[in-house]
Parts: sequence; C-alpha cells; structure tokens
Amino acid sequence: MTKPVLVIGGGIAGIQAAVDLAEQGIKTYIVEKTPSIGGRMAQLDKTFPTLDCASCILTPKMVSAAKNKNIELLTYSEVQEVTGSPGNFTVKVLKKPRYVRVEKCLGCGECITKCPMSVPDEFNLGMSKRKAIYWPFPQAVPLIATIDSEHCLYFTKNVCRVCERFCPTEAIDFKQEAETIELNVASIVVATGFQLLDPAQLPSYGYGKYANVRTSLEFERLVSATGPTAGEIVRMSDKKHPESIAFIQCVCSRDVRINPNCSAFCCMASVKQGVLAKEHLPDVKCTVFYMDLRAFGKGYQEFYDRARGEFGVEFVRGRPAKIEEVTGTRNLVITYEDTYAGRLAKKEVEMVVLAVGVKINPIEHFIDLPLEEDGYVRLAKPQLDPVSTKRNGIFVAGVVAGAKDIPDSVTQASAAAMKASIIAAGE
Amino acid sequence: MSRSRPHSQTVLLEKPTSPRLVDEPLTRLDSQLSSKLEKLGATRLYRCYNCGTCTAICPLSKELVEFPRSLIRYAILGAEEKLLSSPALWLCYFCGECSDNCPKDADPASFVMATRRYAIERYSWGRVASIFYRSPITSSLGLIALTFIAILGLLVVKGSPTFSSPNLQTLVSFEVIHDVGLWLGAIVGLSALANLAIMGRFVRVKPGKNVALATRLRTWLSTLIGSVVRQSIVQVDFLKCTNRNRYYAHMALFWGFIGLGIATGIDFIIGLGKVPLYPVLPQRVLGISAGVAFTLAATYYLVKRLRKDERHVRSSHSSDWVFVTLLFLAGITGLLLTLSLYLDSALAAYSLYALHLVIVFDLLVLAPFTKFAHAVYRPLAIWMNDAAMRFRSVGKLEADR
Repeated sequence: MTKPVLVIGGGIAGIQAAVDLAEQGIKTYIVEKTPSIGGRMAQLDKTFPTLDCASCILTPKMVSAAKNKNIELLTYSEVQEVTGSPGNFTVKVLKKPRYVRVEKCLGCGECITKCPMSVPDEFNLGMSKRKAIYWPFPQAVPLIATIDSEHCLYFTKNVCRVCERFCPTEAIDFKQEAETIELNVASIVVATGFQLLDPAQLPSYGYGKYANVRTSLEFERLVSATGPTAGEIVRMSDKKHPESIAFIQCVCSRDVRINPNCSAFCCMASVKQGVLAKEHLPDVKCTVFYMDLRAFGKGYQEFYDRARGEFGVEFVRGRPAKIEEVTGTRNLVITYEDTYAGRLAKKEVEMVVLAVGVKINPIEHFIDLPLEEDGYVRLAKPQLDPVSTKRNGIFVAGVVAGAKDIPDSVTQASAAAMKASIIAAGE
Repeated sequence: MSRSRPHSQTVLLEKPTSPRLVDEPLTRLDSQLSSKLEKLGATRLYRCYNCGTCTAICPLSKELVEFPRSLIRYAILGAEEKLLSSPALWLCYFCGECSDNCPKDADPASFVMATRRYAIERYSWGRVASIFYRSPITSSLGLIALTFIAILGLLVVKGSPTFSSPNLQTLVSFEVIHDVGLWLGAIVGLSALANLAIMGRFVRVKPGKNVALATRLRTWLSTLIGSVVRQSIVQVDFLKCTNRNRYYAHMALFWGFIGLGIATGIDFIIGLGKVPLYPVLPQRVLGISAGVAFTLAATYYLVKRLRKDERHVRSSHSSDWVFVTLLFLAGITGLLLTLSLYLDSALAAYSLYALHLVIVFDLLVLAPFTKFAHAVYRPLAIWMNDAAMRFRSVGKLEADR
C-alpha cells in the first residue's frame, strides 16, 4: 500500500508534481498558503517563447488538480512543522479560517459585490482594489470566498456583516477558528516559489519615488486582460499610453551588493514584454537595456530574433547608472553607456520597467533544509540528482531550488514527483 | 614599440579605413597586460562584466571622453598602446563613485590607479619607475639606496654644529643646500621633461593638414592655458565629484606645496638664510601656513588609507604608502623643525633638519617616477584631450593612429 505525499506550494511546479503523483494513484496533499492555487504563473499574461496565454494553459492544470480524487487541496493553509523520516513524516498544517464554510460556498460572488470595504489587491500588486471578502483572481481554484480579517469591518470595528446578510447559502461563519491538522506522509515535495526583491534598495533607479518606474511583474499585470487596467498599458502618473518604454535587465540581480545570482527568466520575460507592448501599442518604442541576453532555451533565440526583427524591439547593451524624473511630464531620463558603441548617453522614455531579481519565499520557519550560500535550497547532487535535498525523502521543484523559468520548473516538478513516488511506494 | 615582446600578437581592432592601414596593425595586443595590471593593484579587474555603470555614473566622464569602462576594456583586451594613449586615464580624481556603484565590485577606481602606475612605469625614461612599482623589494631597496645617498651626502657636507643655540647654518651651510637644491631641481626637471616627451608620443594630437597655422597655435595655446588654470590651479573638474573633502585635501596639498616653493624662492632671492625668527616676516608666515596646509592634507590621505573607510581605498599599493608617508614626514619634520627653532632646542632642531633634508631629497628625486608625476602628466593629458576635442569639433582632427 502506498502512503500519501505532501506537496508544499500550489504554484505551477507544485500543481505539476501533485498531478503526476495523483495519476500514479498516490494520495497527494497540496498545502497552499494563499486562498487559491496558481501561484506566480497566474499573475502572468502570456508565456515565452510561444506567447501562449498563461491563464489558458494554467487554469486547466489547476482544475485537473482540484478534480483529481487523489489530490486534497489545503488552500489558505500553512505548514508549521515537519518531523520524522522518509516514509513516515509527520507534518503539522495550520488551516487558517476563511470565515466561509467551504462546503456551502457556491462561488456566486454576491458577498464580494456587496462588501463595502476596499483594500489594495495583492494579486495586482496594489495597483487596484479588492474587497475585504474576496478571491484572489476570477479563475481561483477553489472558487471560495475568503474574509481578510485584517481589513473586514466586522473584525476591525465589529460592524457591517453585510456578506452574511446577502449570502444565499448562509456560508459566512464569523466564528470559524484556525485549526491545526496532522498529516502523515511518505515524502515531501517543496515547491514554495519565490518573491521579487525590492528595487527600492537601488535608490538610483527611483522605484517607489517615480510613478512611471514599475517592476516587470507590475507590467505583467498591466498588460494582462484580468489586470487593473483590463490590459491597457498605461503610465501610473497620468493613465496615458506611453509612447516609449525602457526595460532594464538585472535589477537586484547579478549585483554583488544585493544578489549576485542571475534570475534566469528575466531576459526572456523582458523580450516577451517588449513584444506584448508592441502588440498592444504598435507605435510604442521599446528599448531593452541588457548586458548578456540569455536566450538559452528551446526557441528562445528565435523568439529574441523575432522581437528584434518582426516587432522592432530595440536592444542596447549597457547597465543604466541612474534614472531621473523630468518634472512636469514625469518622463524618465536614463543615463547609461552604450557599451557596443562606447558612447555615454541619456535617453528619455515615458515608462521604465525593471526586470527585478528574485529570492525564495522563506522556508526555514517550518522546514529544516540546508540552504546554499546563494540562498537557494542545497541539492544532494546538483548534476545527477537535482531534485533531492540534503534531507532524505524531501524533494524540491521550481525556483526554491534555483531560479528558473516555467518549462524548467515543470520538468523539475515531474522529476521530483517521480522521486517522491518511489518512497511512497517503497514499503 | 612592443614589436619584439614574446606575448604580443597583432590583431586588427577596427576595420581598416584606408588601404595603407591594411599592412599596418591598428594596435598590438599584449595578452599579459591585465595580469600586469593586477599585480599593480587592479586585483578585481577580472570581475568586470563590462556593463558601463562606471562610465555612466562617473561625474567626469562625458560624451567623447568615456571612461573608465573603455579603459578596462582596453586592459582586458591587452590593447596596451590604446590604454597608454588615453588622456582619460589622467582625468580621474579618484572620488570612488564608480567603485561604490559597480554591481560586480570590480573596483574601477583602483583599476585606474593601477593603470596609472603602469603608465608611470612606461612613461619614465629607461623605465626607471619600474624599480618603485615592480615589487616591494626593489622598491624598498631603491628607497634605502636613495636614503643612503642622502645621508652620505649630508655627512660629506656636514659642518660642526653649535649646540648652545640652534644655528642650522652650522650643520650645513645654506650655500651648499641651495646649490644642491638647484642641481637637484635641474635633474628632476630634466627627468620630468624626458618622461613628458615619452608620454607625449602616446597622447599626441595631430590636427588635420588643412588647419591653418594660426588656428593651430591659437588652439594649442588656449587649451594649454585652460588646462593649467582650470585643472591645475583651480582643479574645477574635481568639484564635480560628490565627495568635496577630497577636493579640499588635494587643493591644500597642491597649494601647500606651491606656497612652500614660493617661500623658499623668496628666501633664495633676498639672501640665503637671512630670514630671522623675529620679527615674523611675511615669507615665514607663508612658509608656515603652507606647511600646515600641506601636512594636514597629507595626514588626511594617510588616515584615509589607514582607515580604509571607503570601497575604493580598501587596499593600498606599496607605492601609495611610500608616497603618502614621504609627504607626511616631509611636512611634519618641517613644522617640528620650525617649532624647535622657536623653542631654541638645538639637538631637536639639528636632528629634525637632517631628517627633513633626507626625506625631501627622497621625495624630490622620486617625483618623476612616482605618483608625484601626475602633477605633470595630468595637465599634459588634459591639454591634449582639450585640444583634441577642439580640433574634433571643427572636424579637423587627423585620424591619428
């Protein structure tokens, strides 16, 4: 008899690992700390190098994970402690209260419409508002409302309860409490993903100070049809379409002062964003400032060639030293050296997008896994066993094991699932 | 020039622009260049990934005079002649902003300083300066030998000092000091000129043949005056650097040195050793205040190097220590000497005087072969650079090399 497997993290890597395990007949738990699975990929508009719509390829995977009888989703839950050994891990999971009865909520959204409390929407990186009762995005899985008790008027001021009054199935339950459950699993796949570094630590780029300097993930939300502007690329200062956009590579990455690592996906992400900008605004001038355009994957070099040739995205080799805002227009002047021409230059653009480096989401508070000096999880054998950690029975997939793009994350996830299944079946 | 060097190889860097150039290499590459520079203090050169942040952040880098990345590139490629011909090498005032902002911590500022050491070696006649840069051993031996010569000379000309009250004349007569000073000045001056001539071969600028003689003369003269006044006397470009303290220290050192020179000159002209302790005459006031400024500035540099409190002064080359220590000792012995004269302390006065003479001898003889030489290389580089810009702006600069 096989024992269950735990997958920590419900992003694309976690989903892939869970689906692969479940299809072998292994009971699999996905523990996801946010109210929905989907992860970072859900925030993307399109994917390189094929320009597939990210939601269109991700949502079916999310649904197949949710529908699979062998997969148990534990969303809005967090792993608190992992003890035991391969074949017999005991995992404590905190199920945070949604204040909504999961079995009763139909996902009609009536409560969300009626909720009077608006708060910044983290899915759109604060560029729009969501309600205090919400789901992170319309394709959320499971499509169950969650009350954010930090902002809900009932929890903060003991008033309102409008959602409770309007819910047709009486699903709201303000008395719900956090619950800790224990899982016994044979093996674990850690796929906890990443967060962007804060580009405000580079004051010379003015992020946070200049309205029209945004991060690559913010741009991704702007260009997305489900984003805060319904897919209109606009400047934050005046909500106008920019006539020129500069994409700056290696911000907070390949920089010994902040993070020496390459983030692996930013080059192609910026090439893609240049193409998307051109598709949305054919007259926009796109310039990518880069040092080494790392187009190493299948079809990547060709995609870069298309961006240059077919779409007319301009590429300048040089790392900008500073960005200054023009008073009045709030345009941005970039000071850089075009290192191929050996010329010092300034370029005025209407919008700047910073391709920001990444670090892993913290894991040390719930699982004891040795990390490398570079901040990623240490692998057992980086060449021949790049999914095993230093702890037997615990495997990794996705960016937690090193920065990588979606295809590589999915590949590693399948490999990790295979390793995890061997232990699950091995009694 | 490097035609016979074993590691040199000929590579065309640019497309030939005229048939004549096909047979003639545009530059020669020395594959050992970067390791030579590493030994001279560019220890982080290999880290550079050529991103251009340094050039874009440098307050002195400007269009058509882009540095330091271009210089780093030349160094990594081994384009020695390109490196030695770049006036930009001498424009830097070592504010360290490039090193603070370098994403690879490749320390471009220290690279520029290391490359200057290399240039000082290469520009020196007979490559004499190599003694003071190749290794701490040759450098120490050279310094010891020089000091030994100074002490020996002092013993030869030494009189019999009176110990009742200090009278410097009785240790060494001022006539001897001034004669030796003049000879020394001539030798040092000629050395500097010879070195300048070698540097001139690298950095020379040729206006096009169609530029009228009058225009040429006017351009040469106006850029020379501009270079000397703006960059030596006032050092205006230094003010573009964010850290003003370095500007004040450098100006104090420069003007302190000039002030001491003027005070000595006055002393020489009005009569040897005729300046009494009382009343305190203007030339003594000038001498003392210049000495104080000079010593304070030298102390600033010494403390800076000891404290290593900025990224670009983390490590100092042995030659930096020699130079800054000599400056400091020259200043402090001079001031203490004056103090001991006023305190009427004969023993202190004589020993400080002897020490002072030896140190000043070392400092002056070494001047054309150490960091001191930037005092003449920088104005020449700036002159050539300004002239090239001027000629280029009228489109009349002959394609030089």
